[in-house]
Amino acid sequence: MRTRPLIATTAALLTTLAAGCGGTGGTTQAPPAQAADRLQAARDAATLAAGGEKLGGTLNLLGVLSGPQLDAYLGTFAPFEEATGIKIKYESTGDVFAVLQTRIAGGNPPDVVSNPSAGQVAQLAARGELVPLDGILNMAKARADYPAGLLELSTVDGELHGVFYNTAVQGLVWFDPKTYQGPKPPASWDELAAWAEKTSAAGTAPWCVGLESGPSSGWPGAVWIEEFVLQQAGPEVYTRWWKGELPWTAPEIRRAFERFGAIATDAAQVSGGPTAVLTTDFNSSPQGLFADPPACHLHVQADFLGNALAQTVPGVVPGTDIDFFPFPPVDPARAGSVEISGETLALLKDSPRGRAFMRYVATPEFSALVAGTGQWIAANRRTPLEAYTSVLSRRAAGVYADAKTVQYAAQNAMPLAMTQAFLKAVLAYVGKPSTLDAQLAGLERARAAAYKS
Amino acid sequence: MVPTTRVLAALAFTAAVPALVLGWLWLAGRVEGRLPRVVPWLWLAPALLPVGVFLAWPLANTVWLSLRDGGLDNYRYLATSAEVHTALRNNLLWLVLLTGGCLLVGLVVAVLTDKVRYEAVAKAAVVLPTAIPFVAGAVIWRFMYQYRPPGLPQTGTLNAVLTAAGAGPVAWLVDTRTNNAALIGVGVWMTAGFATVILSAALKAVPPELHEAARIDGAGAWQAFRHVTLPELRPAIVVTATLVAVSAFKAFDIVYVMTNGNYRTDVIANLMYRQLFVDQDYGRASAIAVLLTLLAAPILVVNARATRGSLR
Repeated sequence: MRTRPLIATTAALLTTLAAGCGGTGGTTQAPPAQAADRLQAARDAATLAAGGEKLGGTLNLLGVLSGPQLDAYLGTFAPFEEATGIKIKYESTGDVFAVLQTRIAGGNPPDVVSNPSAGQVAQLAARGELVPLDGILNMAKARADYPAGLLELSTVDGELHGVFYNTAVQGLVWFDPKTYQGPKPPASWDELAAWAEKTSAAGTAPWCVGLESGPSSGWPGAVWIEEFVLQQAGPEVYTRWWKGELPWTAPEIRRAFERFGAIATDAAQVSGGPTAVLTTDFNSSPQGLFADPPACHLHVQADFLGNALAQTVPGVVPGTDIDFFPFPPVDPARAGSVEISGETLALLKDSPRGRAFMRYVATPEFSALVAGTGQWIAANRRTPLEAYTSVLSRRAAGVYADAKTVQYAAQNAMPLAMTQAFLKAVLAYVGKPSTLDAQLAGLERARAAAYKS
Repeated sequence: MVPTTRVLAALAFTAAVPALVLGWLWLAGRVEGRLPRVVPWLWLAPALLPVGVFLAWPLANTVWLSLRDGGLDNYRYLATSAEVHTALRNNLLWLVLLTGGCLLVGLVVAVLTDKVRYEAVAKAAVVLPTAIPFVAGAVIWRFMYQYRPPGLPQTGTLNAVLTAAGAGPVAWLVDTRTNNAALIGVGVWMTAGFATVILSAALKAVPPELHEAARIDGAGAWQAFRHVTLPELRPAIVVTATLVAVSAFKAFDIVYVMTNGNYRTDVIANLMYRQLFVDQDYGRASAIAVLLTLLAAPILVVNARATRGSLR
């Protein structure tokens, strides 16, 4: 759901953004090239993962990426292909959850899935559709290299079923340093909200929000709500919430919806008002930052936004034209709470090729390449900071590393049915704020069925 | 290289099918004298078997699934859930507007282009969209309906026209007053060509003597159309209407691509897709499938009758 941003950032950014905004001419930044020694180290790691054998053949991989992000993604597997002779065949779909269920039901699963929903990975693991990795990986190493919270997401019956490809720090607040005059970073949400109020009174909507994203429309709004739950009620409530142990009608959840609604449904707070929020593609919504005069000053999006803008909008330089600060804490005691998302690689068909692949992606040599794409943060804790080729990625990686608590995006941790209902409720709420009670009651009914299995 | 086993299997198949058919004929010939009542069934069997395997059995299985996983709760869900009611209401809209729209466009185009020189070009313009896959058509129309807040340049064709004429832009797909009609409009654009082809062909089959006789009796153009053309077209209209009506019940692609059922545009087929592939609730999905079949069945009966009538 979440990495869907990643997919479409490509095509849509290229077309919509390049046309509509940007600096004063200039060129876009080329994607960074991987260092030769890192590529060689990854090849060696791949050879080791395959037990020194040239296995050959193909490995089918199902995922959601396309365009430049897919190129960056596949580039991290190139050393594996060279070292083992295994050809990676990537199949891209915008509707990975349904396609995956259909392929499994039809007896034709892919070898590996790169899944943005850890919730679905856990569901599949519980149904016995995934190959447990305990007998394949060096588990002591895996436990040391990955944050326990991430491993736990795909651990079912005591066995690990997935390895995170990347992580993305969610809910960063982006701005154009040339025009943004507010606090950076604000010490609390209230400080930022006070500035936003002042800006709004002066006649400019402070925020740009866009929720349109095809079948997963609404996810950026769900991130906002997740941030508010996390930043005001804390990680314990947050965890109970996505695990289905907290009613949707609870005051903590209700308040989070209302805080988001105070922005997204108020034409004085958000550029274009709620209709624009619902109809604007999440890719083109940050356009407003670069309009002249700016249509808005702030935009909430994950860590990939700055680099994506730099690679697609002429004249945008990371740090100079686009920068960020972490989502401010609502309750100052919650400072340092960070929400992340990421794609989980999970094995559906056991084979020597699949085993070699899973061993390879669990190595720090591989995660250094993920860091080197300039797109993502690597999930492996042994990824060296200097492997990040972009100043913004390095800083986002710093936010991730320094966080007091790291929480996985609730919408991607929930069972699929709950996620869908959540996203639909976000859209319905923004469309008609007076229906909040009905939406929450509907989500509460959906909870009973969604967590049943 | 093709494995030898596969070659052998292909050869066996090529030999077995004619042998089976001949054997069947021989058997029927033998039976004919002795058991005359069995013979029709022997002839029907080759048709009934696939219908049973590919139609009746899945249907029975669906009914069974709808009762096994969750039992009557699935049907209670159909009766009480707001999302089902919204979807049913929207399907009703689709049924009326899509069928009406396609017939109207089809009839008007067929009649108006019937005797003009550029008939082929004019009809091609209407028929061409039927060659586009529904998903592609929906993507195209997303651009047509695109909305940007007032003041910004409008990138969507419709809103560009509206704002050029001095009106405000409309969020076609989000505004609940316009979105269902906007989706159905895409359906009409993509299906009207089909109606045009059938009605135009039927129009050409109306004997010219009837019109001549009507003219001699003093009928005007409208009277001739109303009392001669329309009655003659009736069977074709009924067949077209029922086929389009069934496709209205099956509407999925356009809604899935353009709104994914948000903003009160959900339809039954989308609901079924979500229950099946996202929620993995086979019971509810099957119950929806049963409902869909029950709703479409009467239309198919009308269609079958009309087809038989037009053959007579």
